[in-house]
Amino acid sequence: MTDLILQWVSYFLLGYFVLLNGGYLLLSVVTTGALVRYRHFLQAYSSNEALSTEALPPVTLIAPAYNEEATCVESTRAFLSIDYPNVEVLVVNDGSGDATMERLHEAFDLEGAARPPTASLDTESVRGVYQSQIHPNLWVIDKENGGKADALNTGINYCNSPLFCAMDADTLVEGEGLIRLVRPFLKDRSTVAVGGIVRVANGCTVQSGRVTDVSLPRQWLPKLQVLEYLRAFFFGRVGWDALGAMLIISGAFGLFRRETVVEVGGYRTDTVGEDMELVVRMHRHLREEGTDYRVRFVPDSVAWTEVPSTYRVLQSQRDRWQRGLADTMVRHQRMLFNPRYGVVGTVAYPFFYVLETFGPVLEFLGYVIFAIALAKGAISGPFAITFFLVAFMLGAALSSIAVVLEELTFRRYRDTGELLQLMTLPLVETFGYRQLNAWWRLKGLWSYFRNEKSWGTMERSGFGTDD
Amino acid sequence: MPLLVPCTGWSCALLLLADWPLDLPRIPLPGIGPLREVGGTLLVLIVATGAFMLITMIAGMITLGVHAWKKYRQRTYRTERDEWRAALLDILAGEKAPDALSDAVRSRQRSRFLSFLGVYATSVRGQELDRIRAVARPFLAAVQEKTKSRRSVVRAQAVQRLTLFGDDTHLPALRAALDDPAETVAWRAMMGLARRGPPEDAHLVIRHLDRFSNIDRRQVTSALVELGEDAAPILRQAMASSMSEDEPQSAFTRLICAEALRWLADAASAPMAKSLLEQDADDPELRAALLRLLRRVGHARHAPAVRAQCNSEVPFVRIHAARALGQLGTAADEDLLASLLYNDESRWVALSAARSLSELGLTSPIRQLAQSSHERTSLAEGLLPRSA
Amino acid sequence: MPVSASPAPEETDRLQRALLAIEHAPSAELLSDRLERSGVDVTRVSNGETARKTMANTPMGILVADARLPGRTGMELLRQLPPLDPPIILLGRRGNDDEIVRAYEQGAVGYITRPFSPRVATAQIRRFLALHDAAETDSTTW
Repeated sequence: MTDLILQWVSYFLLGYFVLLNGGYLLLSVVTTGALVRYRHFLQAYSSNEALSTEALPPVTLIAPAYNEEATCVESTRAFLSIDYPNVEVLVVNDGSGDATMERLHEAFDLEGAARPPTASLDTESVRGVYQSQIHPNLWVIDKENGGKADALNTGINYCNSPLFCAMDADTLVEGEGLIRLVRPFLKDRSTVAVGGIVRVANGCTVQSGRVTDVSLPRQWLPKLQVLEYLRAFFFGRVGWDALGAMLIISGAFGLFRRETVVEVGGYRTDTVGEDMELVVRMHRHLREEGTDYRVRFVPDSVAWTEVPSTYRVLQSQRDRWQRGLADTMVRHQRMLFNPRYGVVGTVAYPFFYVLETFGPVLEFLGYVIFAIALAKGAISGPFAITFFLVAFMLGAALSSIAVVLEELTFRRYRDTGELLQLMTLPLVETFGYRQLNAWWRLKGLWSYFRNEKSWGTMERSGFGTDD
Repeated sequence: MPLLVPCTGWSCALLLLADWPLDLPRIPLPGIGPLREVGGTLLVLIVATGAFMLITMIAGMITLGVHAWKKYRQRTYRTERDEWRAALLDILAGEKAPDALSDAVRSRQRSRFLSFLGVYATSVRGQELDRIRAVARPFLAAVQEKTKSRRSVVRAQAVQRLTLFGDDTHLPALRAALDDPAETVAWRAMMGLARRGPPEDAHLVIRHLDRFSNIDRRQVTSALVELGEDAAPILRQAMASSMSEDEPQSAFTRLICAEALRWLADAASAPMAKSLLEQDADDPELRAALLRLLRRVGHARHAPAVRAQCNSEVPFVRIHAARALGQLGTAADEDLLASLLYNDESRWVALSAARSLSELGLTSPIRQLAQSSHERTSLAEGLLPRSA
Repeated sequence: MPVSASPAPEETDRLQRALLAIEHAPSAELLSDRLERSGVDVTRVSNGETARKTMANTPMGILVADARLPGRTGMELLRQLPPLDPPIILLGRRGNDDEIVRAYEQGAVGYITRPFSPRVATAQIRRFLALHDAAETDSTTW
C-alpha cells in the first residue's frame, strides 16, 4: 500500500517537475523574443530627448525610514540627485527610536511647513511635516511607528503628484532610472504600475550614491544571489510582462499611479508582502471593474540594492518573502483559474500559486521520498545517475540562458573573469544553496500557516529590524 | 521584497529513478506505461540530458563569443569615438570646417556616428547646434530614405534624426510620417513637426491629434506648445470648433488645445473659454481644461461661468472650478468656497476650495474648520502655517 | 592651442582655475574644452564629495556645479561653501524657474540651463574669473 502511495506521489511530483520547468522553458522563449524587440526599441530611443520635452509628469519618491540614523542622510542625497525634472522626495520617518530625525534636520535644514494631505488612507498619526530649506522638493514626514506599509500609506496621503515611486531607503536608483521607469505611463495612459529591475549592489563600487563600477561580490552568498536575481529578472519579469501578466513589482523600486492605489485602499498593513499584495489587489480590482489597464516592467531601469551576506539575514528575508507570497496568494484565491481575470487569473496566478508558493513543499517531499526509495533499495545505479543529470542539466540550461540574455542585452558584468564565474555558478548552486533555499521557504510557509491568526500584531514592530 | 526565486525542484525528478518493486500493470495509468520500461525510460532520460547539455553548451558558447566580440567592438568604438570627439570639439570651436569630420566617417559607421552626434546635439543650442547640424548634413539624404524602411523602429529613428539634425527641406518627410501606420513613428513625427515646423503646421498637427489619445496628455500638450505663440489663433479655432460647423473637432483635440493655450498663457482665449463653458461643453474633461485655462488667463468678469461649474456633478470639474475661483473670485465667493470646503463629498474638492480661500485671503472659514470637530479638521490644520 | 585675444594672464595662476562638477559627460566635455581653449585651467569631477575635496586642496577661481550633482547637490554646495569663495554657477535643466530663482537667492552668481551654449557659458565664466581676480587684487593691496 505504501508503495502504491509512493508511486502515485512520485507521478504527481513528476507532473510538478515537468510543469514548473516546462513553464520556465516557455517563459525563457517568450523572454528572448521580448528582449529582442526591446533592444530594437532602445536603439531608437534617447532618454536625453525624453528629458528635453519638459513635459514629464511630476513624481513623488516615497522613502520610509526606520532607525536609519547612519544612512538616512546619504540615501536622501542619492534620491535628490536622481535625474528627473520634477521630482519631490518624501522621507517618512516611521517613529524611529534613534536619531534619524535629528540627522535629517541637521543635514537638510528642515523647518515645519504646511502641507495638507490629499488622501485619507488610514495610518498612524503624523507628528509633523517638515520642508528642507536647501531643497524645497524635499519633505520629511514624522509619524508614529506603524511599519513599512503604514509609512508608505502616509507618504501617499501627502503625495501631490499623479505618480509616486515606492523606494527602499537602502536602494540606489541609477541616474536615468526614473525617466526610463516613467516611459510606459507616457506611452499609454492606462498604465497603473511599472516595475524596474533590482540588481545586487554588493561588490560594486558606490560613489556619492551612484554605482560607478559593477563587479561580482566576493562572498559566496551574495554571488549566488546575483545569478538568482538575474534568473528572476529574465524569467520572472520580462517574460510575464510580455504575456501581459506582471504580478510582481519589487517593493524596492516601483512606480504607481497614485489615484489607482488610493482607489484600492493603499498598502495593507497586516501582511509582510505588502508590495506584492498591492499589485495583485490592483489587478483584481481593475479586472473586476472591467477597467482597461497596464502593469508593466522596464528592463533597463535599474536600482541597486544590498543583499544579505549572512545566512541568518538571508534566511529571515526568504522566510518573509515566502510568508508574504503565501499570504497574498491565499487572500486573492478567487482569481485562481478564474477566466474573469484574464491571463492573470488563468496563467500567472496558477503559476505563482501552485508552483512558486507550494513549490518548496513539493520539492521537499521529493527529497523525502527519494530518501525512502533509497532506503528501500528501489533505485538502480544508472537510472539514478541519468536522472540526476537531467535535473542538473535542466537547471544549468535555464541559468545559462539567463546569463546569455544578460550578455546579449544589458551586459553589466564587463570583466571576462567575472563572466566565467557567473557561468559556473549554476554548478555550485545545485549543491547546497538550492536545498537551503527550499528549506527556508518551506519554513516560511509553515510559519505562515501556523501563525496566520496572530499576524496583525506580530508585524507591526517596524521594518528592517532583521537586517 | 518578494523576488520569487525560480526553484526548479529537481529533487522531485529523482523519484522517478525509483525502480518500484511493484506489479504495475494492476494500476492502469495511460501514458506512463513506457516510462516503466527500463530501456525506454533510460533512453528518454539520456536524450533529455543531452538536449539540456546542448542548450547549456550553446548558451555558454554564445555568451563567450558575444562577450569577446563586444569587448573587441567596444575597443574599436572607443577609439573611433575619441577621434570623432576631438574633431567635433575643434569644429565647435570654429577651428575646423564641418566637412573635416563628415568626410572622415565611412558609410558603415554612419548610424553610430549620428547616435554619437545626437548626444551632443541635445546638450547644446545656438551656434554650436548649427555646427553639429552642418556636420550631420551629408548623411541626411540616407536618413530620409530610412523613413521608408519596412521596420517601424528604423523609421522612428530616422524621423527622430531628421527632427534633430534636419532643416526645412526635411519637413515634408516629417509631414508624411504623420500618417505612418506605426504610432511611435507618427508620434515622433508630430513632436518633430511641432518643434521644427512653421506655425501653419498646427492645422496638420491638430488634424492628427486624435491618434494620440492614449498617450500621456502632458506629452501631447507639450508637443503642441512647441508650435509656439504664433500657432495660438489656430489652437483657439480648434478649441472652439464645435461652434463653427466646417471642421468639428473631437473633445480630445479641443481639450488638448485648451491645455496648450493655458501653457502658452494665451489671454485672448479667455472669453472663448467662458462662452464655451456657458454653452455646450458637455465633456467633463474639456470643461475641466477650460476651467484650468481660465484660472491661468481669466479675469473677474469670467467668474460667473466658473461659479456655475462649482455645482457640477463631476468631482474633478468642481475641483478645477474651485481652484479657478482662487484667481478669478472675490470676497463674495467666501460662502460658496466654504460650503465646498465643509460639505463637498470629495476631499480633493474641499482641499481646492481651501487653497483658493487662502489665495483670496479669506482664511476665516479655514480657521473655523481647524478649531471645529468637523472630520476635515486635519485638512484645515495642514493648510495653516504652524505656530510651533 | 590658440590663446584668446582678451588679456589672459601669462601663467594660469590660481584664479584662472575652474572646477567643473558635472555628471553629464557631454556637457562637461563641451564646457571644459571651450574653457581650456580660452586659457582657463579646468579640473573635472563628477560628484559632490570629490568636488569638496578638490576645493579643499586647490583654490579655485570658479565652480560650475550640476544642480543635481550626486553626493552634494549644487544647491547644497552653495549652502556649505563660504559665499563667493569661489563664485558658483549652477547647471540645470531648462524650464525650472523656481530652482533658478532659489539658486540666486542662495548665492549663485549664475545659472546655465541645458541645452546650453558653450560659447556663452565660457564668456560668462571668464567674466567672473576676471572679476574675482580684480577683487582679490583689491583686497591684497588693502
